[in-house]
Amino acid sequence: MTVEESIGRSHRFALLSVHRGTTPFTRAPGLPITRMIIGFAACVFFCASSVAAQGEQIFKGKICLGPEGRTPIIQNGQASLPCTIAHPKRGAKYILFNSENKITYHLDGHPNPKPFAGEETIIIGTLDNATGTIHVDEIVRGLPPIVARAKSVYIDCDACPRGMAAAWRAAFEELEDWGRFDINPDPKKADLIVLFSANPYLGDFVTRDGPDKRPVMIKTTYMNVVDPQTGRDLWGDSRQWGSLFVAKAARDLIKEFRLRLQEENQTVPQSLSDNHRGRKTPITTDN
Amino acid sequence: MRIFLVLFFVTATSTASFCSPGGVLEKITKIRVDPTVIGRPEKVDDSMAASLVRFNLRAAVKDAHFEEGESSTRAFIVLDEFSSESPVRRLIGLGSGRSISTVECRLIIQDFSGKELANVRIHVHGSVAFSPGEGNGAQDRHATSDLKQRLLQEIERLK
Repeated sequence: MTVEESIGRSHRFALLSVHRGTTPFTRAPGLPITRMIIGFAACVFFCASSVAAQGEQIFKGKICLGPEGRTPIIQNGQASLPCTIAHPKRGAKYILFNSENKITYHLDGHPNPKPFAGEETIIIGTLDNATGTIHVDEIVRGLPPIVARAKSVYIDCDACPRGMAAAWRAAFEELEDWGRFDINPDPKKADLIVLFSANPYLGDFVTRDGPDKRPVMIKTTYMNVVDPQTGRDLWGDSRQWGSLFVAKAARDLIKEFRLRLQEENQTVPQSLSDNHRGRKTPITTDN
Repeated sequence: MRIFLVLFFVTATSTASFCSPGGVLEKITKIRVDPTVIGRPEKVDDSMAASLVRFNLRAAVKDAHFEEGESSTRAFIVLDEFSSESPVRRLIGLGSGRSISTVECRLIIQDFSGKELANVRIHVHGSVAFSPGEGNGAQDRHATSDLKQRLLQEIERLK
């Protein structure tokens, strides 16, 4: 049966039931019955969605692979779980572990939580208190605490020949406007490195000696927030806007990072969820 | 006798130059970089000029091996003129990504009492925003600007 046929059938059935008087509603004078049905359906739909939205909460923590009842390890005074297991047992499921309150939640409803394993995440979902299970609506990669604590940044433009050089100035202006960070001229004293490049970041900020030797074709502007101590990529995204819009791309990336940092402190699930749905580029989940 | 006189003269000159008193920053290890003072606002056409110039001074102070922070020695710039490239020139150099500005300023060094230790006039026609170096060494990886290089020269001279 085609879609049109099924719609036609259901429409005919609806009309039939209206004419047979199976509807519990009595027809008000001058008000078409079909409008009443649509109004009722809309009311049911919106009421249901608002009830569901009310139950949604934000959960923060690390996504780890079961099994149930695993004992957290205390490392450097902080509780943590070994999150990535090379050969997990059959039936092992992903869980959310919050190291602050040491609570473990089971996860349900997300098709693929595997890419988030071992990551600090923010989960929007509904908690079933009886089973301790979160029915996941959305998973967002959380920012490491070092980003939230940071006070100063160093702007680096690596692999930035020709038109890419515009990224530095655009980033400087945007960060100055934001006013959240002190822009430090010394990378050793900065808490974070804001790295722009026309090539993807390889995680070698600390280990690489000299400039990036890869060929540069200015097609995509990459921005990575890097830990100056380890070179670890803490956040990153890109814009494929070509060489003429490098400055605009750099501004947009800083704005996205700003939004992401603000979201970190958000407690209203709906606004967090809406922000992510309205995003031009999805948040990257791989390093 | 003449040879002795020449030798004496050469020795005295070299000793005098070696033991000559240092600059105002000779025994200074830490400098506080204060915000830029805009001397003539009508001649500054960029809203980011003050921040950019201060950043250049901070970078120059760092490269001159001074520590930046709370100190009785203050350094700041009085900005007399800052003009960005004309739109036509910007259009010509669109692909280069490098923007050229003209900066007319004074580098002021003051002590704790506000006494002026140095007042150096600086004129730069070049880059103010940082762009990466062209070389292959590890040092060249970090960005620089023409204004920072000029400020660094002046600070080194005051050492």
